[in-house]
Amino acid sequence: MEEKILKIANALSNQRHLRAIRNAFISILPITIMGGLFAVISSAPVTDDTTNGFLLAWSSFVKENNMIFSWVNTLTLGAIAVYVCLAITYFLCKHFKLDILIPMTISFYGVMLLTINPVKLAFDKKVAEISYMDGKGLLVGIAVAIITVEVYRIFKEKKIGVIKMPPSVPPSLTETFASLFTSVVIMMIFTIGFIIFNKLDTTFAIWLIDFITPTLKATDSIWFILAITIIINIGWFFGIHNATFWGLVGPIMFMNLSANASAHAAGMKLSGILTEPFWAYFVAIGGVGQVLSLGIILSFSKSKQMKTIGRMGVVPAFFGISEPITFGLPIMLNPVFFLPSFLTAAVNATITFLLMNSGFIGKTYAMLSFNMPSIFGAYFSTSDFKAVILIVALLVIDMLIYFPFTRMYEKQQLKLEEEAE
Amino acid sequence: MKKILLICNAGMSTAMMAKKMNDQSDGEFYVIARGDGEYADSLENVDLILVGPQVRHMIPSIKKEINQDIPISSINPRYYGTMNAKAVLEEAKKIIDQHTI
Repeated sequence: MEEKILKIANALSNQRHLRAIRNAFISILPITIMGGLFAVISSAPVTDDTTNGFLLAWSSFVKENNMIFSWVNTLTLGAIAVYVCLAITYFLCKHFKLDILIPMTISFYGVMLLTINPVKLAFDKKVAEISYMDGKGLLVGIAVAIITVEVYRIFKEKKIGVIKMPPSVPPSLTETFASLFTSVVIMMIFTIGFIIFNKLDTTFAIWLIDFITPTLKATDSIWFILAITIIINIGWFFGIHNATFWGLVGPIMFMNLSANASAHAAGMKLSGILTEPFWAYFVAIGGVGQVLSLGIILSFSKSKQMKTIGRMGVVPAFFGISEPITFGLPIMLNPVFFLPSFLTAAVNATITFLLMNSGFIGKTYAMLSFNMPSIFGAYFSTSDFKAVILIVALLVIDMLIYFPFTRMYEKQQLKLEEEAE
Repeated sequence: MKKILLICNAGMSTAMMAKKMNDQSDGEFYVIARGDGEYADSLENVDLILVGPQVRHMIPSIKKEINQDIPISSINPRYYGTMNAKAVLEEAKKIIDQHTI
């Protein structure tokens, strides 16, 4: 059983496109953090009856400089499709050991061409509609990157475009020509795509998002979220990192986050629930396995071994790193802890989903680092103080769920420790 | 001095391990930690690759990708969880010795 699962995990994490997508999302962290910072600053916590002078001044400062905040947002989280496209191109090129620069420039051309809709292109004033460079253009960005690198690689391997030159021509020149030919072909593919959709009075990005919106809506449901929760927990039960699945789940989360960020910047209602901060701050409190609660319980255990693990693991867990407890206690392959580690995730996800869905708690629109402790992350990603209270409540609930199982395991451990002495 | 490369998902939890290993190795080993997306740039002079247990399923693909004669193994989950750097270093020593014979 374990071997089979390891095989599936290897296939999933080794699939070159999924792997490149996963690594792309990890590497664009500076962009999402910058966007997140500005989103946080732009959200002064004021209500109609706020009287605090500092908060009011903050709020009016933001109002006056709204353009600046919106623009930074537009070029960070609002242009996520471009950054992800470039990052995937980079990782795929590395995978095939190709030159990186030329495919990057082609990808940039492709993603701009297929997500931006030109409005007016006069000599001294060019206006274009760029709102599809955000999460809505993410799938386009992913497609552009994959097409660019795959076509580039196939042409290179099959030596397509290599023109026979007289022997007097230096060989490096032939190579340059071949690469030029390939590049122009790929750019032509994108250009033809642009022309087709332009003639239909739309863009590829707009068409694609209309096409997949029903599916995307379906993923933003409690059932889909619970399904992911189960899969991730089964993975971790075998000690397999959830990043294995991030090539698939990551794009969905980023599309929702980016849509929320744009809506937030425009002062509109947010809609998406399943985002990276939803997962990292509200569900996996202390890392996957919700081990912050477990770490606190373990720190007071009567068993020497469990106490040591708890004291050592509780600080990393506070920063979202669960490995010490997962492998040290262990939770991995430990039948006692399978049920509670799944239950805590399901309960956290369900409660948070219901509260966000009903509008009682603000939805997430900013992602900082997953190492940001939940209690801060929950506030910064929503600007809602109620979210902080929710985290504390969830932590207590998780502890209550874990407690009987820890007691059970403690009994076993104490017996073993007694025998050893 | 032998160089050991630790690999995990983003190089976070292995960084904790690497620090402990460096503290305890008395200059015999030099340990670095890298994520899945970046390790390919750090293969120079590496004598041993150790993979965090949470990404042990990637060993076959890493082997294929590095295409060099560097021994590769996963860290015992128990040692990893308890951050038992001493035990990991001992295992590392064994693997390197076996490999050089």
